[in-house]
Amino acid sequence: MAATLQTSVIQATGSTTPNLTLDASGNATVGNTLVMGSSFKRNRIINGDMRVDQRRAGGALTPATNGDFLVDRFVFSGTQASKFFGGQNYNSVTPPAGFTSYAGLQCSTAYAVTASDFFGVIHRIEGLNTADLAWGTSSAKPVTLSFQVYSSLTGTFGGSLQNSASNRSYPFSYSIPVANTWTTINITIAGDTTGTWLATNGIGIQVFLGIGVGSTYSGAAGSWAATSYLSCTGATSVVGTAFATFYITGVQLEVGSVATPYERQIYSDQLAQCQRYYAVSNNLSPKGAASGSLAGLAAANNSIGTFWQYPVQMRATPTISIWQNGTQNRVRVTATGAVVTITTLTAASGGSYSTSSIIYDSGATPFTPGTSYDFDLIATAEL
Amino acid sequence: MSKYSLTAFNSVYDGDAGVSIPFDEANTDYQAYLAWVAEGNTPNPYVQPPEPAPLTPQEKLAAAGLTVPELKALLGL
Repeated sequence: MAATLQTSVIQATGSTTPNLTLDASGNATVGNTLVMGSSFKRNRIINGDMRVDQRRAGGALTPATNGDFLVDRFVFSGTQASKFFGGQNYNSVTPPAGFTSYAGLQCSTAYAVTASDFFGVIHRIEGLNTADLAWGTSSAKPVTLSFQVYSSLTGTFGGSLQNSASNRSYPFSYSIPVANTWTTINITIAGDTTGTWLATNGIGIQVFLGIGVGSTYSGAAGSWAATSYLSCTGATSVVGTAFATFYITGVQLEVGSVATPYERQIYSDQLAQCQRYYAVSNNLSPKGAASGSLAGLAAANNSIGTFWQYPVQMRATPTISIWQNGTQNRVRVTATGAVVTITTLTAASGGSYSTSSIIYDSGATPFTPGTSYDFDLIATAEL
Repeated sequence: MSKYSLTAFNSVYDGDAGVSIPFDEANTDYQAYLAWVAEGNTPNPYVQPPEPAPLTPQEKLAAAGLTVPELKALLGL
């Protein structure tokens, strides 16, 4: 039988001051240090509320192609082309209470998955942020995955957790009982005591939410397997129904067996977390404005000296692309506005902290020494 | 032509994606390049840019911002 304990002060034997003071407004004041079973930074998912979309600022993917990011850190995966549209707040449904954004996908062309097909949304967590889970050891800690989901379909849906090598996986299932309504999902997963789980800047844990997974990648829900399962057997296939929708937000993965409320982040903190994996020199026009955000003088007829310090240290030395006014591999002569095409880009990098110091066009000499050129850069160090 | 081209620095150019990929084993694009090489593929060799044509005396003078009379006056001619 449930009971209510009514008191205003809790004080330990031997303590000279209250450990916990409760007031009539519902506030609890801790007298000294609050010790938690896990850290205050509970959520290992970055951008779980889908607010950050550096690539398109809410623009749609038509179609969503394998490897496209729906929003920062959440990537679409699909073995067949042109089956989904998607993006941040795709189709503009009302997000669940407390949220302003979601990642959305809609099937554009119905497709019956074969055994080796898979479609889904992947979030890869860096090993540096999962090392304390001690997975791969006898001390492996349980985690709880929670999120809000909305679909035009009902039934059993599936997903999985995987290691970097995709040779350890845990398929799980969850139910969406009502169509076109946000549903809260909580899934507790026992830590994996075997397998190799990276504790480096590589992939620690891959979270996969399936929207159509063939039998090769589907396994029994609720246990670890030494193979690459992406979903549970019998899960609903969103790609199997034309115009079916699948939206998610509030994704949280935390230590322990209890799903706690979604951990809110200050937007600037969340953006900085995303920029460890993807950064643009021009946030207003990621693929380049008419007048570039970066400039440099041509030091020779095949190179431009420039400098861009990334907003935060990136996960690894990033891949660099160069843009001018929406066109890749192009720079602008600052004085005249004339554009120059780069045939082979080399960005001499300063590692994961600072940028390409030189733009180099091997095999050609398109630049005029001493002339100023401007452009925009994109740096990618995704997992 | 291969998808990848070697460059003058520690990187490869991905001609399909139009990106510069650093030689960093933690970079997933570089991991993909290494897997591509492991399959027996070979990148395009680095092409040294041609040497620039030497400047003419007139171009050198123009680069210095001098006119012929100014140069003569400077040399006391």
